[in-house]
Amino acid sequence: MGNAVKNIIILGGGSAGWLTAGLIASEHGIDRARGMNITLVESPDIPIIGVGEGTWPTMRRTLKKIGVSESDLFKECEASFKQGAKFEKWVNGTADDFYYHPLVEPLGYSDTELFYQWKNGEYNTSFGDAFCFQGHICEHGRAPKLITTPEYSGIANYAYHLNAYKLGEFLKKHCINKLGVNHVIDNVLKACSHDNGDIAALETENKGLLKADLFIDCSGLSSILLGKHYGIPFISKRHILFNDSALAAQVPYREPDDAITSHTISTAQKNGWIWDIGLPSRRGVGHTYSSAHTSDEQAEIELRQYICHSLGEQRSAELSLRKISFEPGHREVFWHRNCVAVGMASGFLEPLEASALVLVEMAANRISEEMPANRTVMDIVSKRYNQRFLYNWDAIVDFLKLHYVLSKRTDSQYWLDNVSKESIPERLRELMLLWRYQPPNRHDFPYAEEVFPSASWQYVLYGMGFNSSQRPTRKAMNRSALSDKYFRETQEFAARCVSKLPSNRELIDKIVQFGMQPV
Amino acid sequence: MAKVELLNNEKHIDLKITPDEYWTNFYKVTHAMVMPAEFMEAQREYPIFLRKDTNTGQFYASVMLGFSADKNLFLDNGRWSTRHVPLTLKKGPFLIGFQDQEDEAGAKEKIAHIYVDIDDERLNQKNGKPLFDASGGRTPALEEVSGILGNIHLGVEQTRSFINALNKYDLIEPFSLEIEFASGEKTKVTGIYSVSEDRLSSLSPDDLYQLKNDGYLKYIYSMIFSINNVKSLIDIRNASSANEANQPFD
Ligand SMILES: Cc1cc2nc3c(=O)[nH]c(=O)nc-3n(C[C@H](O)[C@H](O)[C@H](O)COP(=O)(O)OP(=O)(O)OC[C@H]3O[C@@H](n4cnc5c(N)ncnc54)[C@H](O)[C@@H]3O)c2cc1C
Repeated sequence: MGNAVKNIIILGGGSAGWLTAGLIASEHGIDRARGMNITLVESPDIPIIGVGEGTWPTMRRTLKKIGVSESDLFKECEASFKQGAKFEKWVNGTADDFYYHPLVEPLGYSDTELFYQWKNGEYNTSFGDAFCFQGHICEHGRAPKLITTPEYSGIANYAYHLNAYKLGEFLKKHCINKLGVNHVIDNVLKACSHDNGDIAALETENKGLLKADLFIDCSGLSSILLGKHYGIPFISKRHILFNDSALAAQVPYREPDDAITSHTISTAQKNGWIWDIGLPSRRGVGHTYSSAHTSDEQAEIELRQYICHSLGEQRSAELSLRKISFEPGHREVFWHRNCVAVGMASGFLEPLEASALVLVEMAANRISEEMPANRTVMDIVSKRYNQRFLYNWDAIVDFLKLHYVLSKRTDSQYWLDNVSKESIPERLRELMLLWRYQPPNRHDFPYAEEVFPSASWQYVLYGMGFNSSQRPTRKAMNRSALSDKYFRETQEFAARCVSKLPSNRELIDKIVQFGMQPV
Repeated sequence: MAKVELLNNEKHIDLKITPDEYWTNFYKVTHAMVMPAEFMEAQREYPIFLRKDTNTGQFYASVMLGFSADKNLFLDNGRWSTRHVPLTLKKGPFLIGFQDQEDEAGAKEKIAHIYVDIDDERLNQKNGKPLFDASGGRTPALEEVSGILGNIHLGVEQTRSFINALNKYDLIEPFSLEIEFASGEKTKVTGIYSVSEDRLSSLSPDDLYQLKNDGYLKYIYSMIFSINNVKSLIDIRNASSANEANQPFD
């Protein structure tokens, strides 16, 4: 067919643009002559958003596929290990109110109903800590692996915290030098159309027209192609997820060798929550909140108060803050004609659970794996793509909302509004009703590749005190011998890990100095 | 505890080193680091594998002298039964170290010096070979040590480039060694790596030529051939435990 898809233009050089370029080029750019020609164009003037510092373990597979060395990631991107998230003060706001959402599945998850065993047993510890060793490692600030563990593998599952600007530079260098991606630095003024409504080319300020067969819109919040050019409607989720503002700070360590926390700390506030992400060089701390419930001034006071605990009053007061506003939601469709949007250009909900970059990875992988050979089949691919990603966005909305719905906080209108019935999506209401009688299982999440697997839902539900009543099934009953064994093994393994694994900083220092081996 | 000092012909003039056969610690050594330049000789007697330094994660080459938590099978009444003894064991309690030194033009240069762990039990003031003669000159024993240390130093650099080349072509793979001795006893050697023959044979002629030109191909083949020596290790071990079984009251 004459309308083969040969040339791809990616508009935007943020994390979404370079991850997409890397994933597509590493798959389709192998044969330079017969394969695809990939160009990334980015503005010299418009900065990237630069705040996405928390990732999901999928990032390991993604970076490996793109072909970068994990040791180099640590050397060049201020990366550190992230082993999940610790949620503080989300249930009632007291000092001992916390739970972990680790990245390792509970031990014995598939062959016994752990929640019932935990409820009936006398384990004297949280659901997560009873059957998952990772929270124990996190509490002790341990790394998820040893210096002898090969690149991209771990003793505990892990993701990264990293400097988003440096990640962009790192990927850019690799994409251009190793994967043959063409790089154009210019402002895109507008899109020019074919008669049928497809995009024919992008008009740039200095480099004329950039023609292609497929256009990937990674232009961030401005959504230049999908939003501005095609006018695809934006579906706001503000009535479900209230946060629409963020104040971000870069917080120095007190001493250069202060411990690097090996998980994201998420601390609930009166009208939002604060993220706390440890990089080797500094922390990234930010307050995300609902502008309908509080003012920027009040949000700033709470953020500085939080930072004050580690940095002292004066230095906390001196830190400069960056304000970011966003509308929580996503586009009605993501792939329209010969244009597909990835990253902020397709939507953004809020920073909770670092769900944005993981969705970028899923999108770019899907586009790469299902790359339409020609324009004729593109509509078949895009239809399926839109269905699947609508599902993904809804699943994330539900999962994020779960964190708010389970809260028992009543100290502000924000938390009260969060549990109001009309703010809870129907699917989530149904699932939560169902889960009163059975714990989440794989039938609730039918896809092989879910953004958040059922174990994640259990960690949050039972971490926040949800109760599922018990029925006399084989899986639920009389398995205490088995669950005792899982409990014991978890505690033993956790103790071994805590004594054998290096601290997060110790390992990162070593990686920067010596590197890790690929095998 | 090691107490390392810069070797000095005044302070250490009376220092003597006892021959290795009197040093019982070698009985406990089941693997020893070797340098690429030793591979040719080593591969006739020992299996050569790669291992990782637990402190840095970096690969180094190592010969197997016995099985984990067992003993050195190549020592016979204190004497090595092999023709080649790894340099890192022959070097004794000596180390190489570098100090900055300025030349006439004021340029800084790193100069190699010999250091000694004076707490090592092989050293004393009475028995063994002296390190210095009466006038403070180096004895042949010390010259030998100095040569060995120099070769180890070069070897560490060579190992680094060799490993980089192996990694560049994805040639390293974990090696799994599970053994059942004649007695029925089983053991598993972990943490060892070798060269993947599959990947080696799928290299392009150009890549192979490059490896040969850089001098790495002979090291690679030494490693691959050396794996046959696992069999002799098992034989020695079977024979030695049979002996032990025959002398229950020894
Ligand atoms: C407060 C906050 C916290 C977040 N935390 C996380 C987190 O912890 N984890 C996570 O996964 N995600 C997080 N995110 C989301 C994450 O930041 C983004 O998903 C990620 O950075 C990808 O952004 P992007 O590449 O889509 O957009 P951007 O980084 O905004 O990049 C847009 C690119 O488009 C280019 N561009 C725009 N207009 C033009 C034009 N006219 N011509 C040429 N080029 C143009 C720009 O130059 C730029 O290169 C967070 C977001 C916010 C707001």
